[in-house]
Amino acid sequence: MTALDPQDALALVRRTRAGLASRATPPRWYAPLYGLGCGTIVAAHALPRPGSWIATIAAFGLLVAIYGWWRRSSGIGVQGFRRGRTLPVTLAFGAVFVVAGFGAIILRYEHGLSWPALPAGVVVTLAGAWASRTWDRIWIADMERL
Amino acid sequence: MTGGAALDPVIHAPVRLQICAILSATDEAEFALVRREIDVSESVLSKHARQLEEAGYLSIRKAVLDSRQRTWLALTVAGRRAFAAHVAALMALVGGSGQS
Repeated sequence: MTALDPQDALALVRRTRAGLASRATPPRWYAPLYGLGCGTIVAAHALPRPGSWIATIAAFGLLVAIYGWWRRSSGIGVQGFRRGRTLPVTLAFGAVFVVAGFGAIILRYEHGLSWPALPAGVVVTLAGAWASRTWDRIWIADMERL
Repeated sequence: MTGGAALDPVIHAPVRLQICAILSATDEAEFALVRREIDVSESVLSKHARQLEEAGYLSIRKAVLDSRQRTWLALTVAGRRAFAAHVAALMALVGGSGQS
């Protein structure tokens, strides 16, 4: 196999990454389902036991299932904490999830208030869907940009 | 080929360049996907993947899923660095600037 002129080599890299980018976009339902899974983990604290445990396990199962499905169907493995322009999105959503999650737990078990877990879960659902979609958009833009 | 001290001969061959281009955008990618994207035979991809692996740029992982063996390819840390340096050298040679 012959090696390439630098200009052609760069063009080949760009073409290859652009080709991958065109196939790497997850389906439209991925981000809302991801948000729903994350939000349910938080909102589950509004339920009495064992309902809260069942909802939490189901939500984790949903997250594992949708990521596993996408990984199998796309043939691409990528994790949220990879370095680059996507990392701030991951960290920002992580902060929302932790604050909302611990807030719901503290309010329930320290103050006896279970209802705040529901609006917290809605916030995490919306934030999760936004983070997932934004993360994908940046990742794909970086692929096309080189 | 245009010469250049910073160009990495292990990466610069077209198929290996394409393998690195795909893997640099992912944490790992399935062998079948890479083969489809590059449009080469299994044996050609295997040969080039092995050369990258021998250089310490690529790791190969086999996993059984749904009773089917799947092979996953990933750039190592050294491979990511080498590819980034290679792209930077290419850009310098063509007089551009940017990042991988």
